[in-house]
Amino acid sequence: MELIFDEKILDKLYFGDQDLINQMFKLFLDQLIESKAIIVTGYDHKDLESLKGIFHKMRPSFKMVGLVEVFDEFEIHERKMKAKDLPYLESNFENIILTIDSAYLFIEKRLQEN
Amino acid sequence: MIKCIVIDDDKMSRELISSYISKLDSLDQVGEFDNALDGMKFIKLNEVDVIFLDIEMPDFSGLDLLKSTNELPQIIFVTSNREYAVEAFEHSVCDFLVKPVDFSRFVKASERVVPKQEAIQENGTETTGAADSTTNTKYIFIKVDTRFVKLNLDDILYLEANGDYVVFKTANKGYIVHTTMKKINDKLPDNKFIKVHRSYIVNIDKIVDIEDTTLLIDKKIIPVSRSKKDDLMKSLNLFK
Repeated sequence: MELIFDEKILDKLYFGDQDLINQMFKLFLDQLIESKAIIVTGYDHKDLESLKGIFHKMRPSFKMVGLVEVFDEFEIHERKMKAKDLPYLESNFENIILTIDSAYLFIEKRLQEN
Repeated sequence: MIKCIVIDDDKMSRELISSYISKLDSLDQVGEFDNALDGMKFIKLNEVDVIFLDIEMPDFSGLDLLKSTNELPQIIFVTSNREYAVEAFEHSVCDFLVKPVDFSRFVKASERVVPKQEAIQENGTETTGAADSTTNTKYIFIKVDTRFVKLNLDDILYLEANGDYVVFKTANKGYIVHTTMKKINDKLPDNKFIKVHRSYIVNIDKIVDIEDTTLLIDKKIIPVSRSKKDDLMKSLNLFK
């Protein structure tokens, strides 16, 4: 899965402070593992409230690592969970997990390159 | 230095805000919390000027924190959802930042914060440092919408009550503040301001003339209550 990476947003947030960028990437990866587990559990239990909460929490973190499109995508997920749209969740769950996995691999690679 | 704390359940957001705080000499971060309850405990025991506060947190949200007590420092909300903006400003917060916050916007927000000792808050709980009835300070900070505005006492002509609001009238402008005449009257120096009517406090130096039950300030005729007339006359440098 191809992800669009926006380097400019990193400059805007961190002024090229590479240490801070790396620290944020590490935090992002740690949080993403925990968040994915919460999403899977939430999906299994059809717990839309918990899913809304975790999508909300995750959303800005994507922008903070330059993944602006995923940020927008998660805004939709959050809105749909707020509207208790279970069919949406069921038809998009696999894509959501795929996006999370792709984001993890992408940022992990960027971190290694830094 | 403005003492601040960060309350946010998201570690990345806390990290970003903390990194911005460390870049500004005017700010001193004295605490960081991943939930509002721990933050609240800290505020009760320590001096804090401003909280960078997330809204959506599990169990006890930023808005819950605001509603739980009147004795809070100034608040800058940091949140992902713009939809909270209206409710946030109803609580007279200093500013409202949308995540992820960029540095220039953060700087603007932090410039709106007034150190605790200089602020008179509308709830009247902060009295030190600024003008009060026993000191000779030359200015006050008034809370207008989300900002604290510095007003020189010499520039104030009079104050006029209007429902739940008080208008601070200067020669050029009127500043509307959500407060009561009583709270304001307690903060202003007795030797400079006097309450002449239930709806008016005037700057004694600005009075142009007095006639029976009215006085004149800058072409504005202001009523003087009969019960206040004696106090007014005593406060003047009268030559009969």
